[in-house]
Amino acid sequence: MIILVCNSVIYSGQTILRVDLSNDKIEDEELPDFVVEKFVGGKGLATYLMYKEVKPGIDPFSPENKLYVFGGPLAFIYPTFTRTIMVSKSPLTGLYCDSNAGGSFSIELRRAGYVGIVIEGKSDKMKCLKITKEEKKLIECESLKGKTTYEVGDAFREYSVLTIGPAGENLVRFANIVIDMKKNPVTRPGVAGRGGLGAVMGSKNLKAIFLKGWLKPDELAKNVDKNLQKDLINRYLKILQEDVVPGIGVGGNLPVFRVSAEARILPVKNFQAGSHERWEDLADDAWGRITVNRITCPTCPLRCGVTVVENGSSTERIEYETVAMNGSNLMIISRKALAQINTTLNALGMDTITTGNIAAFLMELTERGLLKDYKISWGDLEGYLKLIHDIAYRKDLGNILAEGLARASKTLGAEEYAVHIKKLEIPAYDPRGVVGMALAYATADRGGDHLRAWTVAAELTSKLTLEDLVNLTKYLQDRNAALWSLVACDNIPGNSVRPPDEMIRIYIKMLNTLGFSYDEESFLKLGERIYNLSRLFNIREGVSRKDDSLPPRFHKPREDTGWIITKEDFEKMLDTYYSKRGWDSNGVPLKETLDKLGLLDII
Amino acid sequence: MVIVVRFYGVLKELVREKLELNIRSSEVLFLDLVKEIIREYPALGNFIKVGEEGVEVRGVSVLVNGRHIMFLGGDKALIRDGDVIDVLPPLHGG
Ligand code: SF4
Repeated sequence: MIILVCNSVIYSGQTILRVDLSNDKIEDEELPDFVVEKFVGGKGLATYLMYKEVKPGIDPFSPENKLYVFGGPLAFIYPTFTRTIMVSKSPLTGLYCDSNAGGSFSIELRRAGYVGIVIEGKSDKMKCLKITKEEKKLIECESLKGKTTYEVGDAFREYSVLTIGPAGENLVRFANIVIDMKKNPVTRPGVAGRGGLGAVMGSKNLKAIFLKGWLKPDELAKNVDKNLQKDLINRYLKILQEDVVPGIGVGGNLPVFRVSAEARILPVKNFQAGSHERWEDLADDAWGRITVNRITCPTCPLRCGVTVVENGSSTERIEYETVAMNGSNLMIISRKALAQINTTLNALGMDTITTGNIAAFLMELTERGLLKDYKISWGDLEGYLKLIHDIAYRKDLGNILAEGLARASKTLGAEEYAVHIKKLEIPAYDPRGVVGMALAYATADRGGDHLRAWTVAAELTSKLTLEDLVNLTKYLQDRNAALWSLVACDNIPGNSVRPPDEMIRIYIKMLNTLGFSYDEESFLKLGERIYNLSRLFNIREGVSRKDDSLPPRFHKPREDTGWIITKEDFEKMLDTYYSKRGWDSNGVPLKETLDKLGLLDII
Repeated sequence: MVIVVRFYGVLKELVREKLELNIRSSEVLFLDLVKEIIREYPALGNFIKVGEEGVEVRGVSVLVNGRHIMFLGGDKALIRDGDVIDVLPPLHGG
């Protein structure tokens, strides 16, 4: 463990709770100003700590791996900073991974006086972590073994609950971590879906954290100028009302389905095609008609969490990626079926993107006659629901699939049909058509991910040269790394009908009311610093240019349109990107780049 | 020579799904091809036109034989006999 010595604090509660499950040790640890200045909170602090503390080459399921559960400094002082970010070495990819979720957890965490929790070691018995004003302790909870995320949420209804389902306990390598999942939730539940961080929790025998904070906003905002705070809140709420409310439409990111379908970049039959004639059955209007409730995270006026009911099947917070990866991609064009699938996956605690991607892979193998003892056809809902359970409980073929697409496709001898990058299954945008997503996927620090740089909107609104596209990708990756240090919510800039520049300027001003001194340039540099540090973590694990590559499918013409990303075009993008980033031709940050970012004295 | 241009989404409604253009020369700059198409379908001018800075687009993306035009020289891409051009629709349907 590194010993951190501290004399002063930038913001109230720049403290972490370090929890060692091997010996039931729980300690407060104050983070020093020089670290907080450089990494702020959320993704920044967690990435820094993981780089320093998690040794290269360790097994993600070993006690040496750590799980960082972080909020950010603005939560509860300003509205909407509700996301909780989880960072660890991923059991799915073996690399850096962060995944964030909405809900009430990070607000309660800040109200308990912490910016993050570091979970390390491994318990022999199933444990839960309880945090209240009166006590912080690990309690045995064998009785929760095998319980779904809903059951755990319901067992601690008066707390904010962060938990795993059976899939996490069974070390399914794409198990998720959920927040506030329960029957009839009053606040929007959140899901940290990607990279299997739920299985890291499972490997430590930690079922849940339940938490109730006690501090009041003024206790967290001791040094904040009250007039300035009020003014910034008002300006921010006005922007949300004018720019984001119209963009958020029926809630979440469901309007994206229409965009993808019209541009023919929808995943259909394991990315073999890009559109489906009945796509409108799964578009935002169709979901809008069956929306019965919209709930929100504490402090957020946007209410993006939709509850839908179709023919007796209801589900909470259904989102575009879930609908596309499990709907058009599997040829299941039924809202009722998708509500069932979403609830089942959330209850068992499995990533909806990865599971949909794996099922499409199996359906394609079935169609091609490449599976010996198992069959599942396109559109087979019953077969799919059974498969989901088999994966969660590692039964039969489910045991192979629970290892994730990359490992399973190798075992099944069918790697050419597997659509993943760095072992993270690709989400719901076919990059043939919006080529920026190819670069975004290939250079994302957690593997094939769309959230670090979602270039789709820019590609479908303006004319971009190769240089523009590379600059945009880098900008979005850096900007988002900085925003995830606050931790700001992706759904807000992502749904703004205007470029979110003014919103981000306000975020920076909010940060400065706490005692930071960032401007737009240094804020972006903060993101760049974090992005280079997560890259260095991956390089330490053996990543290089060869891994920043596309699955074979995207280098072949698509069946319906002939669209393709040639190897030559892709390598050209990558060269331009490396050079823009100040990385060498193998994708390693140059010494002067690290120096410029203030990383040389850290690594 | 014959060039095929395919339109999607809102653009399909403005023009039609597929155009087959007969061009006299053996190759044509993308920029000149756009001028030609707009002459025939002026309503497309809301989304793609030729201005002082070359081809100006409001939202549409262009692929030639499945490859993004940015890799083929952009406005100066040479379009040849048998080429298939795809014009993707803008984000918010214009
Ligand atoms: S936009 Fe949605 S996810 Fe984000 S803070 Fe608001 S309610 Fe939560």
